[in-house]
Amino acid sequence: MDRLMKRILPTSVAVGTGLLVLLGYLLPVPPLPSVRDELIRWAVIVAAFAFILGFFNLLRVHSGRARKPGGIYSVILILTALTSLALTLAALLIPSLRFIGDWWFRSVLSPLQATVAGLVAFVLAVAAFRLLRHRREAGVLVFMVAALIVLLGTLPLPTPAGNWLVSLRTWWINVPAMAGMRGLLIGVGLGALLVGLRVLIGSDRPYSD
Amino acid sequence: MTADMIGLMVGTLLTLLVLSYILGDNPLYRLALHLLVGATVGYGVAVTTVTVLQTVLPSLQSDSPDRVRVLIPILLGILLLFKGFPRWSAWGNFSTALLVGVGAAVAVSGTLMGTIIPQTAAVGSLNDWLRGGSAGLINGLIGMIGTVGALLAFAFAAPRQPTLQRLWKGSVGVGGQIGRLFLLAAFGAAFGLALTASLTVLVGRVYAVVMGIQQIITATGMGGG
Repeated sequence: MDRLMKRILPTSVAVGTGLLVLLGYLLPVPPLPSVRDELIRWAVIVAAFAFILGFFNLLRVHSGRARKPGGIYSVILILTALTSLALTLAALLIPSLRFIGDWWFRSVLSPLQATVAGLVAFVLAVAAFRLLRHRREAGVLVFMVAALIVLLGTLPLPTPAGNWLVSLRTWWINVPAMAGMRGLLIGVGLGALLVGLRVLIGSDRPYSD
Repeated sequence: MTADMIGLMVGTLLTLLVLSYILGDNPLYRLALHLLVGATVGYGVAVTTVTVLQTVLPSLQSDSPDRVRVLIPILLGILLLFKGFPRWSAWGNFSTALLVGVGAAVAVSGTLMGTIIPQTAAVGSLNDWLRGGSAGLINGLIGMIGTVGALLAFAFAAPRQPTLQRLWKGSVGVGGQIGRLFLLAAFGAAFGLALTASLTVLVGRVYAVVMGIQQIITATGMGGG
């Protein structure tokens, strides 16, 4: 019974639904596409429940940490999460309270997210500096030359040097950088294909605990 | 004091808290990060819940066969919540299996039709390259060598037979070395583009802080004028 619940039935569900969806994409013959769309719709609804489960798990983990040293951050996180949830739900469900959600988004979420995104510039600059200090080899030189070409090509420099740099930047991004990125993308794609196929034939079972 | 002014103050303060990271990891930055995680998660859960409710509720209220079709994923979703309780977590395996199965199928078809086939086709053929003259031919060749080389850079297995091993090192090994240079060229370009984009955002935030402080001073009359 335990084996049936933990292994056989979940594997049948995963393989069955996965093959139906894959067939829906590869053989667009009725009724396969509509079955595919329906299963994807189900997965989207279940994924929403997974998001809610993740939210409660976050609250549980941080309520456990709240009693430990440095737990004040966890308390703040829980309070912010609940406030954000309540304000956004109120704004989305009650039209007259929409301004509260807008205020929260404009004054709290947007500045925090934009500033953290901006901080990436600082982190990247520090990382480049450390890379130059600790690893002096040919590969690092190619990396830095590529970064410099892209950065200098972005600057509004006067002609003719400015035009030449812009052309060099465009060529670099479209030819050698694109070639490397394309190889990487195809490699990642092949890896994802292999992992997906292993799940679809039931060889990998990440859902059985 | 208006809600807009309070919002401006809060936004400016939060920006300064995050920017305090420039001085090193500190409690103010950690506070801002926890605020960010909490606010983002709460917002995300609220938006997801309302979106799903708006999709599901009309079908549930109607008498159409849609009702049964919506009840199945809701039931699976409720079963998934059992994952939160170790004793009952096996009941959630069906929902996870559906997510993994459908996800794997979408990933397989997506990578095949959205990445592998289009990206391989984008390398182009000799005819495509010759259409661009000698420059097109050179660029096409560089593109092909770079793409194949980058793929070979991830070939870590090698044959056991000594003769084949030498042949492998001479072909795949050298191809991989060239590919590594193309990968570094790509990473360098991605680094430069990411730096440019994040610098633009950072300048925007710093400008917003300066303008915010100016407006707060003007509104509260702290300027002494």
